[in-house]
Amino acid sequence: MTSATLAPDRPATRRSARGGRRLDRYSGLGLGVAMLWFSLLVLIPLTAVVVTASEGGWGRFWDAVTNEQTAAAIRLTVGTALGVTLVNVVMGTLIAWVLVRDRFFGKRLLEILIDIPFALPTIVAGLVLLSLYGPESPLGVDIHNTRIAVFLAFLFVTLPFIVRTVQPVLAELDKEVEEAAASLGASRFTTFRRVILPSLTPAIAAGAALSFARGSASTARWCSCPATCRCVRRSPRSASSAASRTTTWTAPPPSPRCCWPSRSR
Amino acid sequence: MAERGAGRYVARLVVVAYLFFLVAWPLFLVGQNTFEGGLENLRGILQDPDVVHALRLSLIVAVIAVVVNTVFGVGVSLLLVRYEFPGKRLLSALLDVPLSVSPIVVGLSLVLVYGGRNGWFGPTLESAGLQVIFATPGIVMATAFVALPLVIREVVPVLEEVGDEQEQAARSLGANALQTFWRITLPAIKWGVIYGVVLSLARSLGEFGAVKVVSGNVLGETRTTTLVVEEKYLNFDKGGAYAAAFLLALVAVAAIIVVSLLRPKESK
Repeated sequence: MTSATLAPDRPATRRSARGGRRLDRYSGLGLGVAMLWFSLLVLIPLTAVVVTASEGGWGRFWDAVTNEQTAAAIRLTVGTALGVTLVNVVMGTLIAWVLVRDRFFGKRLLEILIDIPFALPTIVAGLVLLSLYGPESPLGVDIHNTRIAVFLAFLFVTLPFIVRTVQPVLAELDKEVEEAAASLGASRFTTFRRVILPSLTPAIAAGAALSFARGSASTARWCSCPATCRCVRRSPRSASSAASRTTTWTAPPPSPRCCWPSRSR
Repeated sequence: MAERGAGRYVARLVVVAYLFFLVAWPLFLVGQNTFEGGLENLRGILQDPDVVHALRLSLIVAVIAVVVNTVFGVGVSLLLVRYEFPGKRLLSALLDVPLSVSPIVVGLSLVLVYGGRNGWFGPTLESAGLQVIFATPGIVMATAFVALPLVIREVVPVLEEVGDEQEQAARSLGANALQTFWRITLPAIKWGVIYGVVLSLARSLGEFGAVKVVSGNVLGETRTTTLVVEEKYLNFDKGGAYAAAFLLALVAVAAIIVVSLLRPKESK
């Protein structure tokens, strides 16, 4: 995303020496203020979560995690996040490839489409997906309250990650190397496997890690998305109890009833 | 374009179809649902004082959070790139944490610390007359938390790329730190900052999970637009929900379009 904001005529080797100056009085003060805000806003609250989670000792934590409901929710989260990441690795690389190497009418539009899931409010994203895949779907597919809905929702939010990490790397890649491989008689598949893929692997891995982290962390949002929040509401315990359950596990287990298929799979 | 084999067209088709079904069509349907009965839905929510209040609150919160995050982000980016201090790598790793923490956990963590009843700091602050949780400050904090790394992520690479030769030159010509920043550094990183601000604004306006936990969702007081969307949807007011969602989506899409329009201008 950022590479586009850089001046193109600036060679990458012109980076300033890493490290730079030592702190003087003002920058030291600045660092102090920044750290204070960062601690108040992020570090102390997150510490509080960890402390509260460990209050009951390891045993209670383990009980909570192995609790049947929670375990099912964790299985669903991790399983779905893994599946989504797999799809993203393939589709993300393909999309990045098309965006970098292909030229056609409407490409700019695709670029915009890819960033939309990142900027779209999650609750709206839920509604957006529901409008096409929900009860009033013009396609006639109603996956409302099924595992596929969760899968689709994950897929939607994690769409930009791999595309945006692979794209700049692919753009930097020399075409000459591929042409050399082709002129030496390599088939397109071999070129892809032996020449392109190795240089893309780090970027793909980084994107996959991001997408997995986001996927496994976004369950909560997706459970509170319209597709599923009805069940949350129906359950007697409200948001506060959902919150207290999350103290024990950072990927907040949604009530499994809620994300589990409401009908037989 | 060396060759245009069939594979290229297949790839193009697959990508376009994938994005069409995952993003474009659903997004279009929200617009369609909003305008199903003409402007009725939109007018309906804009005349509801509670919704108007929610819109205003969302805007105020987003603006405050973005300003705070921009100042913090630019400052921290400068420190990270230009200075050397112990714990720098740890700090730079920690700064990315808010992106990967689930928003519900963000909300919960803030409640644990600033909650009025039994938070760590909450009771003290409350007796000093400052209510954080279930009030605007809490919503601002939750929003600032989730959007924290966006500005930094945009500015740091630009700062690294620009280098500090010009700053050194300015300093050697007698400019003080403030002058160097305003005249040299800021113009150089301008687009990175703007990009970060637009992204943060979109993210801040649309934050849902963290705000839901922290705000208490008091009608006409701490209910933000995203909470209105949920509430309307749960009450089977589909038209209202879609209309509010449409407004939010409009802002998000506008932000992305602004960013993508800015980009080519920059690279010329």
